Amino acid sequence: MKNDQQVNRMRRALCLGSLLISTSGAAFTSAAKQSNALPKQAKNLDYYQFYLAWQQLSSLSPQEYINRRQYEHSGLKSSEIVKLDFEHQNVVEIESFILSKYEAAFIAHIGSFT
Amino acid sequence: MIIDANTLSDSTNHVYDYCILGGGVAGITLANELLASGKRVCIVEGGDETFTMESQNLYSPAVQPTEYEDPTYDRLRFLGGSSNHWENSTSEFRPSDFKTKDWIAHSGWPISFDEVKPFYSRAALYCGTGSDGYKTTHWSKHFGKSDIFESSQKINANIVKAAIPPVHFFSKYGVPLKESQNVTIFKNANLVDLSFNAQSLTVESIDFFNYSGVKHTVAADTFILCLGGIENARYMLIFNEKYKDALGNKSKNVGHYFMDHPVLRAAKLYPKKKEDFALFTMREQIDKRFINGFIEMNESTLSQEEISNIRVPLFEESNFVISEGIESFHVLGSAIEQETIPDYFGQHMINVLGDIDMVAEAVSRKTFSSKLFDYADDFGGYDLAIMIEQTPKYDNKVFLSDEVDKLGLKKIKIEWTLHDDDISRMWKALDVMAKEIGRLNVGRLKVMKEYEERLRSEKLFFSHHHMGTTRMADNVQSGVVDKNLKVFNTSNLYIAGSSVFPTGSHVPPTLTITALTIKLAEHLLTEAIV
Repeated sequence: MKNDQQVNRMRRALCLGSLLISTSGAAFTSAAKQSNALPKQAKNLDYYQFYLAWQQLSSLSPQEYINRRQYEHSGLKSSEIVKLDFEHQNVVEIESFILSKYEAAFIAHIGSFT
Repeated sequence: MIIDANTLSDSTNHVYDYCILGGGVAGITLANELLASGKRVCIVEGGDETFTMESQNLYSPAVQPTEYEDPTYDRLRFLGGSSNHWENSTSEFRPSDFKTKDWIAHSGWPISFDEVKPFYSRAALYCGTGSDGYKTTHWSKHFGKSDIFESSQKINANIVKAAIPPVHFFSKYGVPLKESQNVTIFKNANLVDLSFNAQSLTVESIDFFNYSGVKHTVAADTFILCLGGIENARYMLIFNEKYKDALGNKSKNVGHYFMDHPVLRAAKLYPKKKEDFALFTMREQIDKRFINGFIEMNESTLSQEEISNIRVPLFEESNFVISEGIESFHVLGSAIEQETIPDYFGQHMINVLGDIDMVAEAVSRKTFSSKLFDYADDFGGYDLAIMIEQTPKYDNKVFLSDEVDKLGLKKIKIEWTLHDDDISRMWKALDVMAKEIGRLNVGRLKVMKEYEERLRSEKLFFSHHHMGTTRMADNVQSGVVDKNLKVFNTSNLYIAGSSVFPTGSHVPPTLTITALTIKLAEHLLTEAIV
């Protein structure tokens, strides 16, 4: 009986310990995105989510899409292509954000490096 | 003069030109407008000059609504009515609010914006918001805040004004009524019955009880129900039970089309520069008035996109406050305490994990009273509390139960739901707004469509604006009162208040209630001369 109690106590401690470690790890990672404590790659974790979402949206890779749009609109600045996208309803919904497809491709492109 | 009905011991008959039933915003405004005419006016008010539980309890429903809020305390039953606890936010309705919209069933008023417009200025004086109007161009220039949507064909900036402190109608406008010789206010006088002559279509008298059960009868040339959006319907249903639907209820419209302005927290705005949105977050004060901007849909967009309008004020929030994770953490915490699994458990878990730094911050603040992350207090974006225009629906209704209150009058039940088409129109409106904000390159909108299921529970808030239950229409098939607010099939019974709104716009109703009441007073006095 005493042994069982000890085992249960250890199990609880182990569960609590792993929860604390994972929670503080996640908190640290999340906080680090806002600071300069971590290298650039680690800050791109959210971008990676965009990259995953992009893959569901388009058969082209983000880079291929960006290249194609830049070719189509040569002479226009990126901000002007984004404006065109919004004007012509060429938007996508990623992570609940309503974004121009061109800017979404840029974010996904950054995410593709992580 | 003011008479406490509780001090009256004997039953007495009283005679007036105008008998106003209810001393809230509409009742007090109407009495003031009729004051100078010298006509004999009485107000019959069930409550006292201050809050009493005895009176307030008469607002309790037979059963609590399942999807709507408790109607016992979201309005106040004493002189001044709900103006005793309102926020005092006022804006004018838009011209499109009065027009029939092919894509919205039962839309369209029998009067136009131009017929109400002349009364807005005077109504604003009653509401304490001044006669200098609600024009965005004027106020943006006045405060030196640019209107970033000035050139937009899709969305607009509109203005909200409020008096500081909020105007309590009886406190502010009751004195001349109390001092007047031609106005009598009966307080603690509960309307219980009405006598209708079906031959002449005339309401001949009403009865009221004091709290000791002593009955008094008031005869008048004209009666005006000003009891609020729920009680107007309740009394009309009670009287129509007695007179077999003769009082404007041939088509069984009384109590139906009940509307509020649901507020849905369904989006967040991340600006490129906060200064771009200064007009919407200025909260400027001028001459004891608070003035601010909000975002709405352009009127032409409504028809192009077949949507309803939305009112979007902006609230600056810190990373800490805007965190979805903390909110979900509380939901999960409460559920654990109650040993249950909350609805949308998966979504809450994702929120907590995705926002774990802010959850840790919240735990630290609560447990150790210290901060973990300085950036928690940095600006995190604008949380959008979106007030939507609700579509009038026949199945949203106030109706009578078999249970009676202390006066022997049937209590109400409410059936109300937020319909799918209203939610989908809001998503469509947010979609238009997101694209326009993107096109103007002033920010990006996060539209939380994953909240869809929660929009009928923890993401839904009410505005306590009770509208539509005795709607105005061209004929008795479509409504309860005509364009002059006279109850169909009667010659001298009128209704004032937001219960007459066929549709409710997307802005608070009090300014328009007051404007329509002033218009009614003008009509009554003109009719009296004729």
